Amino acid sequence: MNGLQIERVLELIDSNIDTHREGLHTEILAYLVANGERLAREISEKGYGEIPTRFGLVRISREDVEAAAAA
Amino acid sequence: MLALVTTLLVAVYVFGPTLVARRILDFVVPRRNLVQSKSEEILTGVLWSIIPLWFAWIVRHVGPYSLPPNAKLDLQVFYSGLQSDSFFNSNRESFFSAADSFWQLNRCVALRLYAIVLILALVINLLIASYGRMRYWLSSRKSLWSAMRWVLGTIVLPRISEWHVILSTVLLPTRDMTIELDILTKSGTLYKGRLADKVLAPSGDLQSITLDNPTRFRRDHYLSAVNAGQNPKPKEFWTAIPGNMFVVIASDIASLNVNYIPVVEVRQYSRQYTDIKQALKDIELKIAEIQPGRTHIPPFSYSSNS
Repeated sequence: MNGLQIERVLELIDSNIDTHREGLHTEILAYLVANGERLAREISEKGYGEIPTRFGLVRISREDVEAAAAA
Repeated sequence: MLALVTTLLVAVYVFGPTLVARRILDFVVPRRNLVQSKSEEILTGVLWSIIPLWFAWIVRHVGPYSLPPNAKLDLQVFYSGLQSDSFFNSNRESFFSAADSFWQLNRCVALRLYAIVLILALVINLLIASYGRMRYWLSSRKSLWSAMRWVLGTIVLPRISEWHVILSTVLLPTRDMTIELDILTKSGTLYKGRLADKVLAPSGDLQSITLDNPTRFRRDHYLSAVNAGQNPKPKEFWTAIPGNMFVVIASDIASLNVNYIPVVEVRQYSRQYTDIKQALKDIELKIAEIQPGRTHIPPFSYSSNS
């Protein structure tokens, strides 16, 4: 493969990353909206909550929530 | 003696720079092809010696260990002494004096040559290491910058193994990423897992892939369930393979599905997406309801009108 062909592969990788980033965004948002109460309880009890996604658990801490609220 | 000196000079000025450049360049990414053809070897050797040698000759009078005076004359005496025994016997003193000058001349050129090779190789390494970020930055720019992107792509990319481009995050704008693979083997078995490692052959071809947390799809069970009309969910037919590291030999692979998964940091997502930020604010309110005594203190900010 020459430089231009590799560049084309990199563009495909970029679009793959964008797709997954958007997918994860949708999954996380859906979970936050549907399970807000449960997450709030978990965070107030343990200091963190977990959001299940296709690619594993995403941890959300009290600091994350406070940072978003303060922004 | 003349042949010995010539061989030594060829080693120092042709093979040495290539060897040094290769060693340094291999620090960052594996080369596309470790075993090169004769013509490729010669071309690489010439490129890594002629261009730096030309620069070294330009700066021969700059800095310490510069070119000795009368170097040209001394060089003639030295080579005449090497070539002819009678010249050597009749000019023994001037030969050894010229030999010292010959040593100084080569020290001057070789030091500069290797310094330039070192700098060039480090610059190329730096370009490769930061190619992902530079490419991302250049992609949002037009005209002359897009030409710069083409130049970078032409210099940096061709020397990297294609499999390393696909199975690593080295050329991506961010390294905070995991690579998830779905591997279908020639025997029809489907494996899934996180890429832990890969082995490339000297020719640059893929030799094996190591998966972290591997799982196998129980295709037979799934098909039996389908045939029995149970409307099975494929997700339930993935089974974990004991042990963390699972090696798949490349010759067994029929196809490979590669997914680049960004590492999710909720804080970063809340900065990037307003809807997630809003959802987190709602959760903060819910936490405040659960813990009424807990008040959120916003971060300290200072502003001055003076």
